[in-house]
Amino acid sequence: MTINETDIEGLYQRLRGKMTRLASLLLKDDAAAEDVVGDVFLSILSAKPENRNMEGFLLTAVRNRCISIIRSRQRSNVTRLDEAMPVACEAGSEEARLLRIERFISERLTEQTRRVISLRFKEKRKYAEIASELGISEAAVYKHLAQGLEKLRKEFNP
Amino acid sequence: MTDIRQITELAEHPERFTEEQMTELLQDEENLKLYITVSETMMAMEAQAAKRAPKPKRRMMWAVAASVAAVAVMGALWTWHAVPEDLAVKELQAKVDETPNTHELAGDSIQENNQSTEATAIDSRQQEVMPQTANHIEDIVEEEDIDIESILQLQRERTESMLAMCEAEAILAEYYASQIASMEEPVLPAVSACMGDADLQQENIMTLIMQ
Repeated sequence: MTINETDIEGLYQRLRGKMTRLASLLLKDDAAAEDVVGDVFLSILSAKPENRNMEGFLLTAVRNRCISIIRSRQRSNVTRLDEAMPVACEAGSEEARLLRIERFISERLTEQTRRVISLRFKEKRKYAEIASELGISEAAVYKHLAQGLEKLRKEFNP
Repeated sequence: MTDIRQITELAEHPERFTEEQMTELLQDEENLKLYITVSETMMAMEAQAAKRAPKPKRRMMWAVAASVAAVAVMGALWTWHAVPEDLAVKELQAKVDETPNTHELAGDSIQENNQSTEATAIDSRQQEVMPQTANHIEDIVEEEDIDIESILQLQRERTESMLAMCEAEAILAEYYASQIASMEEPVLPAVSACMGDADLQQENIMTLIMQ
């Protein structure tokens, strides 16, 4: 079912506070957080996506925009040329970062950790399902996931 | 103390958390960094999965293109089959042979783009579609009791018009050539540039000559 403008108005009234809070926690900037939430609602007004879980969809959209802004700020700090950077270049930088994460997972993590991360985040399996698939305990799944994410955090979000 | 289960749950299903729970988790700097890491890892994994998934739109585009090309080829075959000998078929055929057909153009384009897989897909799709199209046309002719003679007459008239058009274009081309030959040198590169775009070629050359 396609979402209409009345639905969007209702979602805005209901979720604006939570979305702004998430953006504010990520960006540490209330004004920028308001802008992000406004942009997300503007984009769904024009795209009118079909999604049963609109709350999850909107919060994820806010999160992704915030991460994009954080990366843009970091690049700006390094190069001081960010504002002049074309949009395609920005998108390319984000894509390159995701590729680096993908490469780090395949080259720098152990075989078992890589499989756990892939099953959890790519195939969306539950802990018990991963444990059954790999023939290990749920505690071991948790341990591999924690180790992998810690290495990723140190590398990409020190 | 970082709770990876809760952070991954928040990244995957933010709708399951209240604003207060979310705030409690993410106001801790270490948790926030982990949340961003989990989110980016998910995005990277999803992008990887999307890259490996089949691309139905693209496949469908090639199939449609192949079908259109096959129908065009069938139309051309039908035309040549229906044209009587006394309408200088050989002359017209020679003119057509000099012109690259849709299949050749598609082939050139594919080679340029190194898309050998798609080329194979087009070939096999054409092999599939062409006999089906021919059978379909025969079925329609039989079922609808179409008057073949009147179609042939229309085809003859059409071919006569095409021949007349070709002759007129040949005369026009000679005229353009003579005009271009008489131009001063700096104009020639501009004409060459026009020649690169088939659709604009005639219009632009005319504009240059008029100038």
